[in-house]
Amino acid sequence: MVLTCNFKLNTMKKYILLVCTSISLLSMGSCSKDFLDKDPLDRLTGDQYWKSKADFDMALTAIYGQLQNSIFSYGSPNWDVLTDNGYGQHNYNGSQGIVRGEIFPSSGGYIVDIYNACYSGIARANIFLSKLDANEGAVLDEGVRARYEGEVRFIRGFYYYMLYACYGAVPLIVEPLGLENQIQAKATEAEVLEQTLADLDAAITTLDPTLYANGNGHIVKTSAQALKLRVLLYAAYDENGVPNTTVLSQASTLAREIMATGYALAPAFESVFRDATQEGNPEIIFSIKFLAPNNATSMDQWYGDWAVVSPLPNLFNAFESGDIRRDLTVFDKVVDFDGVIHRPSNNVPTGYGLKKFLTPGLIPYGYSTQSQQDWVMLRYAEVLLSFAEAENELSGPSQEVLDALNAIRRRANLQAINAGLSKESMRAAIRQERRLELAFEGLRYFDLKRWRIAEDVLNNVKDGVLSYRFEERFYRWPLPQTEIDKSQGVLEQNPDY
Amino acid sequence: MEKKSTIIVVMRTGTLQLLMAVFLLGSTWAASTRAQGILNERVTISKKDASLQILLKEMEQTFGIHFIYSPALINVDQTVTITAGDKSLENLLDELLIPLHVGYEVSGNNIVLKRTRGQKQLAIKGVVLDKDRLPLSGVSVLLKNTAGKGTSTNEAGAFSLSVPANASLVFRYVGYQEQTVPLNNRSFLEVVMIEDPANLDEVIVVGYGTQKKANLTGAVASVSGEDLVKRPVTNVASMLQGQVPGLRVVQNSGEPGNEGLSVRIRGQGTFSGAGSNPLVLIDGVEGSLNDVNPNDIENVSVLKDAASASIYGSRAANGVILVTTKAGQSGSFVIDYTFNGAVHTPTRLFDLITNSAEYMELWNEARLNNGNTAGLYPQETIDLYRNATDRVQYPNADWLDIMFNPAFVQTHNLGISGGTGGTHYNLSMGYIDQPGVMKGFEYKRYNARFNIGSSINDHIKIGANISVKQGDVSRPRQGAEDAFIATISQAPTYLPKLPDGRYAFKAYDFESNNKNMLAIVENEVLWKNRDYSVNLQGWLDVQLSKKLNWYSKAAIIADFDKSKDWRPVVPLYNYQTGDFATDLDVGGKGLGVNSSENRYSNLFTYLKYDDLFAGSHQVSAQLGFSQEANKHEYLYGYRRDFFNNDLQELDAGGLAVQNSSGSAYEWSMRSFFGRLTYNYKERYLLEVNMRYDGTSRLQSDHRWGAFPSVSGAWRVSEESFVKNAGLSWLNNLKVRGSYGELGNQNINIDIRSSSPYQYAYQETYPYPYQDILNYTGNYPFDNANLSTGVAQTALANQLLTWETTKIADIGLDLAVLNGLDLTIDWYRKTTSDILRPSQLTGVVGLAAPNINNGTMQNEGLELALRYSKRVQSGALEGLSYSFGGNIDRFRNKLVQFGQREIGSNTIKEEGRPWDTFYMLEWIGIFQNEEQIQASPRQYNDDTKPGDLIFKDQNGDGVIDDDDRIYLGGQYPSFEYAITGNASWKNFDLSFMFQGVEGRKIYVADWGTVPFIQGSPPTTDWRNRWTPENPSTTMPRIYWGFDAPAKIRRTSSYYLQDASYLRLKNITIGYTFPINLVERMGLRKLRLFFSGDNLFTLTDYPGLDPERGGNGVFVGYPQNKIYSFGLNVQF
Repeated sequence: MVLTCNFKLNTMKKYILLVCTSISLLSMGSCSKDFLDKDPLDRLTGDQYWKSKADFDMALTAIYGQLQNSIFSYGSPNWDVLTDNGYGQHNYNGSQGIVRGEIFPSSGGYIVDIYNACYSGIARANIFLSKLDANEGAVLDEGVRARYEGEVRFIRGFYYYMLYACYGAVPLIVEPLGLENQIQAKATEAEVLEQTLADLDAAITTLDPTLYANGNGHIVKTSAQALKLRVLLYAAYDENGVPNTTVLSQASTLAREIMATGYALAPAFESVFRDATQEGNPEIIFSIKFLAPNNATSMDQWYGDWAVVSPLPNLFNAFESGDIRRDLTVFDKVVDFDGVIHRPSNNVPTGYGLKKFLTPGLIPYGYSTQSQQDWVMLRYAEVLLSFAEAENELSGPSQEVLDALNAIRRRANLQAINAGLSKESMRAAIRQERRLELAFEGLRYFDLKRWRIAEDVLNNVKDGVLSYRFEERFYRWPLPQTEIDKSQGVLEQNPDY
Repeated sequence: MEKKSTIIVVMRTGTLQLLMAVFLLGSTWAASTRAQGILNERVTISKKDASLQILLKEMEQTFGIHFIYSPALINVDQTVTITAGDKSLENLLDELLIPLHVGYEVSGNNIVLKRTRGQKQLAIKGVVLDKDRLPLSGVSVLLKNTAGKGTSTNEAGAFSLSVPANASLVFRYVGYQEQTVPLNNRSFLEVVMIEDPANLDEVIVVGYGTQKKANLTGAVASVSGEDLVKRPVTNVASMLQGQVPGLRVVQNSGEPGNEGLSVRIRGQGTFSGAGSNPLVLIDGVEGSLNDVNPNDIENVSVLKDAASASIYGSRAANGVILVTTKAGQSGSFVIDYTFNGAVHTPTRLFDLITNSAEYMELWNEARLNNGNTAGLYPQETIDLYRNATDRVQYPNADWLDIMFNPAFVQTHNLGISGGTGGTHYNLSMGYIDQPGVMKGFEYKRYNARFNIGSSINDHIKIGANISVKQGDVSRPRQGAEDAFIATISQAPTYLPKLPDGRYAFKAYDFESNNKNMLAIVENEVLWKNRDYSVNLQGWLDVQLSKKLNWYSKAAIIADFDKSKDWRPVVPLYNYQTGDFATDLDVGGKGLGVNSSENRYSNLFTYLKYDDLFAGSHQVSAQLGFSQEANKHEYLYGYRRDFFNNDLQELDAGGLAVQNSSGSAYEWSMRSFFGRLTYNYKERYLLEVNMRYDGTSRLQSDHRWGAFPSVSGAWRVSEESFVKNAGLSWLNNLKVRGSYGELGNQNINIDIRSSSPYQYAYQETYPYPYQDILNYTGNYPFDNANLSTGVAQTALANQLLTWETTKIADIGLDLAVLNGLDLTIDWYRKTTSDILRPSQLTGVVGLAAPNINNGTMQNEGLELALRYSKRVQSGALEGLSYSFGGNIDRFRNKLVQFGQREIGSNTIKEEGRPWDTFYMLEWIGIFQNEEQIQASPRQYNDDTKPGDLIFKDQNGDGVIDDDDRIYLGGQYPSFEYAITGNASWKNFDLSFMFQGVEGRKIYVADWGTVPFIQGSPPTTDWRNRWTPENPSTTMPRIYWGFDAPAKIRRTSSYYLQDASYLRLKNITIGYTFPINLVERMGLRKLRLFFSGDNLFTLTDYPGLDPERGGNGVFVGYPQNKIYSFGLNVQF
């Protein structure tokens, strides 16, 4: 550029010098090479991780932490509002549409939430397992490696069980995925079950054969056995509700193994669910733990103050007179712990509320309430009931069946059932006991499905706030439409949707 | 006023000017202005009975002039008398010669005396004012049809001239319309000049510089600060509403300090995570419209097309808003004070049923329709309320009335500006106190600004712009929507307080409600935020040579923000029994304090070279460098248990439960930019812009992007064949075209933790491509200690690169008939490689990575029209008025997206506008069972007479999700504004209507289905369907959130027409006459009334149609404002 200079040359030089100096000052001050290289100041990036045992410990913690997702833990009572047990006024996870039988591929709520929550958990497990396999895991000794693998495979098995029980056939993912291989076809239902059992068997093989109470909060062998028992019972019934004796035999054998390890029913029914009596409780086989204030839940607020779950009158009336579980499970209009009363601030639509999981000491419940009672995922009462169910189906109402069932009834302050019932009557008694003992623990919906009685039961609910409709096709939910769309034709929808 | 007392002083001025005057003699008004120079020279003189000849000689010596006259015609021997005083030569000659019937003509320093024959000369005086009635100096005042005769106004806007009595005067001033005023024997004239809307010499602020309006090749619109501050609102963005076609401002609410303003230039350009907000530059440096005091604004330029914006490259994809603040004017010292006091009331609120007995009956009816047989009001309770005389125990509480009250809002602004020598400055201070119409809301803002510029010598200028803002916001902690929801979610059966002053919960346990807002407000359960924004800019302007200029600016903007979230324990009691009921819902007790600071620095420098070749090829070249760096840090602390409700600092809380978090992030950018312009005789204009940007947000291999643009214009009216065609009505005709590319990189990564007890406020970080591990999934294995969890929660995409926006623009500027001005622009804006999360399948199990994918297009048309006129004669002589309007429309299209995505009431699908409404079509109300039987089954609903009917779109005999259809209305068909200004004598009037046509809003929850959380029905439910009242518009009533799905399905029943036309503002002012004001020692005094949102035409039900997006029906209302103000200048 030619400068037209009309003042003195030395002035001109001065200015040019000024410009040059300024620009070079700028360059030195800021043109340093890394001006445009900015990295996070408070977080690690992937290439810096998986180097030490501490890294693996924190990653393992995060895999347990994912179980705290309310859909798997303290929100589980909401599963029972899909059944004859209750009503969910807040429509958590789209429960009301499911009850009304408005289940479409485009439905949101559980239909989408379970799919995403499970695969999110599976992804974290898969990443962990692949890092464990890779050389980076050399920082762990063999015993630790095996134990970590067992714990993680238990958790992955749990997610696959949930997918299997909700949708049937789903894609089977056992390696970390990326953008390039994100589209995956379905495996068969049998393959999903097989993977679930394989994961649980791996856990059973590698984990300590100790009681959960002695496992420092980690998954132990018996936890995996108890979950496998639940899975086997789900898998045992066919499309007509007829059990497969081979599977039931396996279940029965597995139940006996668990019953031989030293678990027992806690003398007080409520002690299983209350924070103060959960640690070391002989009945708990696996629980999802919480710790207030920094790792707390809204459990007391949800059920005690908001009435998120409202038991239906038919459940309240199903308890035999004298059954101590009725008033420990359900509250009538107000929460009352020996005269310490909480009046829910929300509408209580059926007049009944869910008391089973509430903490007496936290009244009054509200936004300031920080709950820390653990969510009991597996407990010995379920094992006894599952054993009774399997044995009754295999060999009728034997003394073993009666013993298992009566152990439950005795604690509930009920009379023992005497021998002499038919297999069918015993089946009905076991199912009734299971409904009451495990009410709002999130199992009723899956029990109705595996027994294939969901249509009979749900389409005959007379005291529901909603009108119920259960169709044959709902035994397997549709896969989310968004997933079908994104798969570009690879992922096939379940039949009848 | 200082007197110029000696002749000597005058004599020193301008030998050169006089020489030039001689040289230019004859070329009409330039020459006469020069001659006027002599005539304006002053002398203090007094003569009694002196000889004219001697007097003329004295004057020749004093003024250095020469009188030419014929002694035969002019009798110079007569004696004359001059009254004492300080006089200009012109005054002197007029006083001396007019009585003698002698005229004169100035020619250089020669003054020719002539005998005037019979024509009476009149000494005319006058003052010329601008539309604010401030004196205008330097205005040419010319005698019509008489070359060379004239004068110009002095600093006080005054002029005097001797002219024939029946003459007309022509007033000319750059940037104003020429005016011709017939004298009609008047001896004093007051002339108000009107700005020329088509003023082609107006200088418009553009990116890194200015440009003459005539030479613009891009689509740039400019608004003066004066037009903005007409509205008595407090936010600059609100003031921009309706001012510029293509700039759409939607104010979500009238909430003080939090109006939720959405500003969009030419539509929603992208669905990117990088957003659609335009880049806002305050004096060339990125800033926030919230931080600027509107009174400090000189003007605002809106850069709409790629050509004008691309010099800002990657930040400019959504357009640019350039705010220029006021600098001081040299030569004057002005103190300006403005006060405005306003009364705010809500524009519209729901009409709710607040009679308790009626509420209870409807409650029972709705619950029974639901199938709820529990929780009904017993008949005796209803009767108790119906017949009560004690309205304290049995009230008909109107909670809206309790919580909403008129608010008095005041603003004060003080400005001091001036300049001496080479230094000029502008100092201003502003204060706003804006309580809300709803209890618990308040905003206070304090602004101070100091702009100074100084010439060190002929070549170097330096300056600084310094501004500080403090904003204090106080509002209920969960925000305005929640506060409104809670206010209406109360039964009329109880008042907020028991008669003894304790706070009420409910009257009956089975009632349903939300939190007691009066208790919230009175117990200070408020979110209080104080933010300081400090903006420091220093600049250096060096004229390296006549043709080469070097400009640099360094700026630091520091924002400090501190908020407190106080949640005390407040017990609530049953209204009827007085028993303790529950604690007030404060969202978990405790005190949270958040403190954050953001430091942004920007340095830019450029060289600009201008040259003219061969007399007609004007070329300029500009080359520059810019860099920006930003660092944000925050700190959060919390304690749960406090000793009492009075000590509201962290240290007053117990140590047992406390929490803290803190972090920081950084980003930076570096850019090179340049511009080349070519201008041939102001006929053919060509401009090329280029920006080359690098950003820390992208990985080093993909970091740099180039954003070029080219534009051109043809000024048809400058062509000689047009000029020669004698089209005197054609003032200007310009055709413009531009095309260019812009970028966008302003994307973050979402690292929100899944833990419910993560206190971190910061959820997104500017590291969108990085493979970040997240702290998530803490777990207490032993129920005693919390172990830390770390996991990868999202996929990373290192290949991330720029999003690109291409804009083509064709425009036309037309000015005709000396007052009619038209601008039309057509554009097509296409954004591609959109930065967005990938549509990742669920089986991957991680959050989607950001990718470049997707294309969105907006095509639009903008038109602005203005007509200005001044009435020259007749009864309304002196009335000047202008009318204008603007209208814009655009069509949004999602060109490429991927798989369609269906939301709760919208769909994102290729080929359709983004977020097209997608829902069932409502076609009526079932009147009887037969009609239901004959109609398609609606989902699994238990359909009854009185329920909504949906249309079976696919004819399969069943209504389900497959019957949802696409519906328009997400974007308005068009938006428009109509403005008018008029001034006459000392009065001025302006108004603006603003309208939106064809926009629909989907509303839900409170205010739609009654009794949600106990909220009373709106009064239209009196017309609900019942067997006795077979309504075809209002369905059967159902109760609250328990209402069956059939009444709450997403359908066009809830899609409301939000078109409106409203009188956005009307302002009436009176400026006191200048002679009166001067006697009071003032420069200006104006009183005005300004009204905002005074009336609205709309079909929208219940609340104000002007709001943000779809969703919950209720929101903080818009304000209707009546304000009075006063402006004084000293």
